[in-house]
Formats: sequence, C-alpha cells, structure tokens
Amino acid sequence: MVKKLIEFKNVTKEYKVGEVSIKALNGVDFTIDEGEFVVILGASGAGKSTILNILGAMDTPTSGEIIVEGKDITKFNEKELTTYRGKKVGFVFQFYNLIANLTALENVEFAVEVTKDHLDPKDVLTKVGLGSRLNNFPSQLSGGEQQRVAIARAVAKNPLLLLCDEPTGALDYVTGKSVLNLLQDINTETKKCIILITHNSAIAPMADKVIKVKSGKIESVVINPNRQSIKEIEW
Amino acid sequence: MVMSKLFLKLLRDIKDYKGQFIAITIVIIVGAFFFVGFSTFAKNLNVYANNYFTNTNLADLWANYSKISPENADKLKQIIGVQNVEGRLVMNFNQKFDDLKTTLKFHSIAANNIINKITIIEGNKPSEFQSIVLDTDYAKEHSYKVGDTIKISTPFKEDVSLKISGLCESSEYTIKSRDTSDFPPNHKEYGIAYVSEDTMAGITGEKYYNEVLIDAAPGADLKAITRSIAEVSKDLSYLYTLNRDATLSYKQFTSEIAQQDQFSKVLPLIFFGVAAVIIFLTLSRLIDSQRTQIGIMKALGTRESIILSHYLGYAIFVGLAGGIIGSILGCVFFTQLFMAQVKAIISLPGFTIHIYYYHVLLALLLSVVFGILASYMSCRTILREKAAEAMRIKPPKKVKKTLIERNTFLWSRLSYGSKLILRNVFINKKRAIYSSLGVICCIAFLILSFGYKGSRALLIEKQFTEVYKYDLRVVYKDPIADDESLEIPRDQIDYNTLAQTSVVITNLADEKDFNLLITNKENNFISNYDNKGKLLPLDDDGVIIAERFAEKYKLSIGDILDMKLIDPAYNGKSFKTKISNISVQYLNQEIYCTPAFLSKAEVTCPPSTLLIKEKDPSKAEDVYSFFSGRNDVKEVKSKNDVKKLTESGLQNLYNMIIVLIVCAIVLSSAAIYNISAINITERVRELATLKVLGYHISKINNLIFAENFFITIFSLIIGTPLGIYLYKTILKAFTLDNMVFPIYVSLDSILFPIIITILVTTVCNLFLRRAVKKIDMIESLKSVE
Repeated sequence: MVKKLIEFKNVTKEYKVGEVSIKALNGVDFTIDEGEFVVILGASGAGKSTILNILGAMDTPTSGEIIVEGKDITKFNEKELTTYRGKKVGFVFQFYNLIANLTALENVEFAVEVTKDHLDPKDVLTKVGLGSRLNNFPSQLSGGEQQRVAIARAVAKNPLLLLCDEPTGALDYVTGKSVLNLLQDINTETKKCIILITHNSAIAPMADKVIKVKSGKIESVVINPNRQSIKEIEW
Repeated sequence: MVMSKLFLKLLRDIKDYKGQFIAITIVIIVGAFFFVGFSTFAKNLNVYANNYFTNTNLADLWANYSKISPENADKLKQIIGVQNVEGRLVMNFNQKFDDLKTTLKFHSIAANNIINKITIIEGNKPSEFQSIVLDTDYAKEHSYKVGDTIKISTPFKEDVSLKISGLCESSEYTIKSRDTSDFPPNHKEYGIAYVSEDTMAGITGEKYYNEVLIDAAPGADLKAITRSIAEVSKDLSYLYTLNRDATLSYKQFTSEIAQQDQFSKVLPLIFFGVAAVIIFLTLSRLIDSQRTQIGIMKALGTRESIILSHYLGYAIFVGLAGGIIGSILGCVFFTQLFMAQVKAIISLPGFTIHIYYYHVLLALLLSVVFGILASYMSCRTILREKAAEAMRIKPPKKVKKTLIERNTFLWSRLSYGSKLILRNVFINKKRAIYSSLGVICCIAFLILSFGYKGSRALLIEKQFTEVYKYDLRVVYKDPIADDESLEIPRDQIDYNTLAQTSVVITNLADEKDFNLLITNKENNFISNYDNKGKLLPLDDDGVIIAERFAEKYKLSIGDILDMKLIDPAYNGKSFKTKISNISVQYLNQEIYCTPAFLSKAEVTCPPSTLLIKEKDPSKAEDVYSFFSGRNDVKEVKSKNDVKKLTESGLQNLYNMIIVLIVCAIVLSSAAIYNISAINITERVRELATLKVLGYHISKINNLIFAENFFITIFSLIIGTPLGIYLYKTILKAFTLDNMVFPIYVSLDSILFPIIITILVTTVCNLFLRRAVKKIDMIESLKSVE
C-alpha cells in the first residue's frame, strides 16, 4: 500500500499588480505519494513555479488546502513554516542560489545545521562527485558543479521531499543530463520523493508521475508504471 | 553551528566590501573620537575645578574695605551663615627692571591660612619675616628660583628686599589676568605674591586689612550675608562685597569651563547625528543589496532570528571596532591637544586626565545602536517578504515619464547618457534621496565648521578694527588734568582721552562689577554698534551697556541701574543711571558714558588714558618710542599687540575648529565614498550589461560619475541653506559671558564646503574607477544573486 504524502485541494493563488489581479493558480488539485519521482510540465508562466514555491512554503496560497503528511501547511504560522522549510523540504533552484561567501562544504553545512537528522555534508558532496572541490567558493565552480552543490545541500538535509525548479535550465545538455541522473539515483537509493519542474516534455518518461499544468490549472496527471532511466532518454 | 558559518560569511562580506567597511568604521571613529574626547575633557575640567575649589577652600565672598582692623574683621564671623573669616591686606606693588615695570599683587597671608589656601609647588610658605612666595608663572617668566632675592618698590618704601621662600598656585587666581582686557594673561608683567602679615606690616608700617574672605556655611544665603556685612560695617570704611562670579579669575575660568561644557554637549551629538544618518543609510542599502541572500537563507529554513542576528552582527562589529578606536584616539589625542591649550592659559596644579568609562560605554552604545536599528529595520522589510519573492530580483518599478521627458523639446536634445542618468535618478527616487541625505548632512556640517572659523576671525577683526579704531593706548601714571597742555607730538597723532574706573551694579539679582569707560561724545576711536551694525553715539543722559548683559538681566533701553563706585577714593559713592543704548560687544562687557553724564551725578573721574591714532603709519615706531620713553607714562599698549594676544587666547578655540573641520572633511569623504560605492555595487549587473554591450569603461565611468555628481549638486542646493541655518542657530547658542560671536555668512564659509564636497566626490569616483574596472561581465550575468 503506497502512502499519500502530499495533497493539493482546490489551491488558488492571485497576484495583485496595481489594479489588475492575475490568477497564477486557479483551483489546483493533485496528490503525490511517498517515494514518487514527479515531473511537473508546463510552458513558461503556466504556474509550475508557483506550485513549487507554495509547496516549499516559500509562498502562501490565496485559498485552498495543502496537506503534507496529514497536516495542512496553509494553517502553519511563520515559525512552523520556517521549521517545515528547514526540516522537510530540500530546494534546488534553476540558478543554484548558493551563498556566495561560503565554500561548497560550508554551504552544505550551513543548510544542514537547522535539522538534527541530517546526512554528513562531506559524504553527500563526495557522492555528487565534488569530493575534491569541497573548499571552493561558488564563483570557482562551473554551473554544473554549482548545481551539484545545490543538490547536495538539499539532499544532505535528509528532507521529506526534494523540490527542483528547472534544475537543468541553466546547464548544457550533457551536464544537465548528469544532474538529472544524479536526482534519479538519489530517488532510487533513498526513496525520497522528488518533484521536478521543467518545460522539457522529453524528460517526462523518467518520472513516476507527470503533472501537466496550463494557465494555472492541472491539464492532466499521467502515471508511468514503468519509468525509464534518464540514460535511455535522448532529446 | 549555524552562527559560526554565518560568522565566516560576515568576515568574508567585510573583506569583499573592504572600502565600505573602512569608510563606515571611519565615520564611527570620528563620532566616537569627538564624543569621548570632548566629554572626557569637559568632565575632567569640571571635576578638577570643583575639587580644586573645595580642597583649597575658595572664599564665597570677598568683603572690601578701605581699612579694617583685625579685631573688626574677626567680628564678621558672628554673622549668621558665616563659617570662617580671614582678613588680609591686598595691594599692588611694582618691580622695576631696565626696560619694564611689572605689577605684583601682594597679599598678606595669615599664619593659619584656612580660606583661599595656596598650593605650594616648590619651597615653603612665606612664614619667615621678609620672605615672599611668587606664583610659578611670574617666577618662570623672570627665571626666579627659590632662595633668590627680589627688590620691590612700594608707595611706603622704595626698594624692599624679599627672599623667595617658595612658588605657589592659588585657586583664586587660576587665570592671572590683571583686568578683563588682560586676556590671555601676560605673566611677565603681572604676578601674584604672598607675604606674611608681619612682612606686610613691615612694608606699610601698621597692621591692618582691606579685604575679608568669607567662608559661608554650605547652602547659606549669600545675599543675606552680603546685606549683613554692610549692616555690621556701617561705621567702618566698607566698600562692597563680591561673590565668586564677580571675581575676575573665577569668572574667566568658569566661562572657559562653560565653553567646554557647551561644546561637549552639542558638537559631539551633532557629529554622532551625522554619523548616525550615514551609518543608517549605508547599512540599510548594504542589506538591501543582500536581498537574494536573505531569500536563500529563508528558503533553506534558517530562522529569522538567526538571519537577523547575522546582519545585526555586522552593525555591532562595525560599531564596536569604530567605537573602540575612536574612544582611544579621543582619550589620548584629543584630550592632550586641549590640555596643552588650557594649561597655557589656566594654572591647574596637578591636573591630569581620568577616563570616565561611562563616556566610552555611551559612545560604544551610540555607535552600535544606530547600526542595529538600521540593520533591524531593513532586515525586517526583507524578511516580511515571502522567500520566493525575496530570491527574485526586485521587480523593476513602473517607469513613469519624468517631468523632463514630457518636455519633448528638451528631452530630444539630451544625449542617451543624460537620459539614462535622469531615468536612474527619478526611478530610484528613494535611493537618490538616501544618497543625498548623507551628503546634505556633510555639507551642512562643513558650513557650520567653516562658518565657525569665519566667526572667530570676524570677532577679532570687528573688535580691533570696527570697535577699537586707535593704534595705541597710553596710560599715564597720574590723571590728566588738562590734555591741551600735554607734551605730545600733536602733528603726528590724533588722540582722544579715556577715563576708566570700576563700578558695581547693585540693583540686579547678583552684584556685578564692570569697567566704566568714560569718554567724550566725539570720541570716534572706540565705537559702539547695535546688533544691526548701526553706530551708537554716546549721550549725556545715560550709559551704553553690552547686549549680553542686557539679555542676561532682561534689561532694556530706559531701565535704571544703581551704580556704586568701587575705587576707595569715592568712599562708596553710588548713583542712579539710565540705560540709553545697548551695544554689541564682542569681547568683554563694558559700560560707556561721558564725563558730562558723570558730572551730573556729581562724580568726576579725570582721564588717565590717551587713545592715539597715528597720522602716518610709517612713523608708528617713533610715536611708540616717544610715549614708552616718558617717565609719566605707566604703560603703552599697541592695539596690534593686544590683538595678537587675543588671537593666541582664542587659539584653543581655533584648534578645536580645525579639529572640527578635519573631522567634517573625513566624515563627508567617508560618506560620499560609501554612497558612491553602493551606487556601483547595487548596479553591478546593469553595469556588466553595459560592458557586454560594448560600452567603453570610460563611458561607464562617466555615467556613474555624472549620476553621483547630480546627487552631489542636488545635495548642495538643499544642504547649503540647512548648513547656514545650523550655523546661525548653534552660534547663537554659544554666546559666552566674555565673548559674542558675530554671525555672518561669508562667501568663503560657503564656497570652501562646496569646493570640498565637489572635490571629495571627484576623488571618490576616481577611486571607484577600479571597482568598475573589476566588474566581471560573465560573473555578474551568470547567476541571479
């Protein structure tokens, strides 16, 4: 029996820009199970990032419920949200967003120190292939390497879910593929739930579940019974 | 630990923005330096003075008689509120040198000296017969040592030989001025001497006193005691009683303390205020530029309190570093500088500087508090944003057409560069205003400092060219009966006569003594002006008094004063007088009247002074030597010598103003550097884009420079009137008893600050060229951070 981990119930998000209000999300419903590798697909401005930001407690919805592990996170206060971000969520951003003045190792160490139940930063960095670059500053690393640090930073926290917002958006094909491979390996090894945003539909077969978003609504939810390894996918 | 990782980030942030860190630290150093230096010095002077006066038991009242016997003097002890009395005979005797005649103020001193106790610096008290104790300054000027013998001439006996038994200082004569015009004191020509009562009686031929020192019980009503003294002394040759404020040395010393005190209260606070504004602006903008970093930390689930303490850490670090360095410099350098100046005029035996830790603590607290406040407020705004928002670059503001843009005629004629500058300034109004605010504060402060410097110079200038128009002041030994028959080189000089005597005003809250200057209506060598610069003529119906005196006692034209003549020759004669005019007197406070006015009150006071103006300036030497060579002339004072002396007396103030100006320049340099530097760091991406687009570095530099320049010019327009206002307000508040600063905004007091500000802006921008050169196009554009 697979356990339900996340449930979005009729979630809406409105942004007010001056007198115009824009509906970024307009009644979004979906569920995600434990250990799933989910890809959220959609064009630019469809509302993918908004979903991820809300799920990661980086933003709050205008209405609706978001149930994570049986708790509605929209009811959380600021402090609970911070704890949730610190312990349950690992983020990987398109532009890495490392702290410029901390080394690779320090960036990971800094992130894990908000939670007790974390992995060893050095081990994780070694696992993502950066064992020899521990003491480099972000500016001394390539884009792919920086993204690996970002992934290590997210994974080392040993979070409930890993949220990746276009993690390969700024990377070339080969580097991007190796980053996706790394994510898939992590999912297989640790059974961590990974939610990945992309506009590249070609990589959809690597997921257990593909959620398509269009104009702030869910267009379709497709379940892949037999997901493919990223190595076998070409685009 | 999270904190330790963030601490590393803190140190590296500081290293990355070294320039700004140093600039902001300097701002705090200057603030703390001024604050601690000034408060420490003023406090020390105050505490020292109080202790000195208490320990030497400075008299509360000085009762003056023509002559009083020791038995009668002792009777004053029975007055209620009087704790102790000590009689003495005070007289001026002369000492003759080859080319100089000096005055020694002799005091008989009781064997059991309990009031106005003298502090022996070297040797012993003058307990032996025919021994004398001199003040250290007079002894130093004449190279006298303990054991030397000096000869004095007295009206009773020529050539009295006295052996120097010791050198001393007295709390009664901290400033050894002969009269109000002898400031700074001339120690070569005037000294203080103490001899035993027997020695004094030996000189005068009988034992009597002319002064009784009164030590009142703490809290006793001095006015009631003064009245009782007059009552008890009805049948004696009583003259008047003065309190401490009416004695010259005390008055000058306390006004020096008051001056230090006023400065120490106002100036450092203004400095800290300016520093605070700059700290505030810099830190809030520094934190604004770290917006995405705060977003990342938030997204990582770092607690707000930890993020907050990280940025507060920067403020505390900067505040403590600057505060400690500034305090140390203030305690050491500042106090020493002023100590040397004060000691040159005032005798303060054993005066050393103690550090009061609460001044330092207060300075540190102030340094840190502004930074914390700024960091807290900026952090709060960013922390209130959602992490997702904070991580994105701030959305560009809606670009509205500026006023100039609507004027298409003008706009189409502007170069692309100027358009960019104008847009930048108008779109980032807040940033531009913040930047201007810092510069405005600096320019205002520079104007205050330069205005102050100008006022000091003007004070001397006005007093010695507008008020005193004579060249020489010649004092005759005896009153001049008829100036027409005087033997003087009439073809070479113009002259006016001047008589001078001391009076006490008795119908005011305190008894106060003044110099009464009596001169003809026609005298145009000493001029009085009202506060609008109008010349005030003397009349035969009343007197002219000083504006400060009028303000202090709320006197106006037409009011009546009760005047009592102090000189024993008048036997305590008093009369009523009307105030006919009030004049601005920059130095001293004097009362002017005509001989005709005095004769109405049946008082005659023949002149003994000639005010002389040379017809031919090239013959000035001849005129001077003519008068100084005459036997009937007591002294010849050249106005320029007095002017020089006054200037050196105001040296203390001058030094302070120079320190003020240097600090203001340092402050504005740091502020402008900071503001310009932030303008660059905030726009690294924009500048990198320009680089990518192939803009030449010099063109980018010009753009930045023009924008900073625009801000500077704007600040000058706002800051200049503000500075003038600040200058006028503060100088008005700084009026002292014996000094009024003329308030006049001169061209150079405005021009210098403007030039300095523009110069500093230019230099800072030249410095920052390197920062622009260092911007790496690829790095800056690679990631959104």
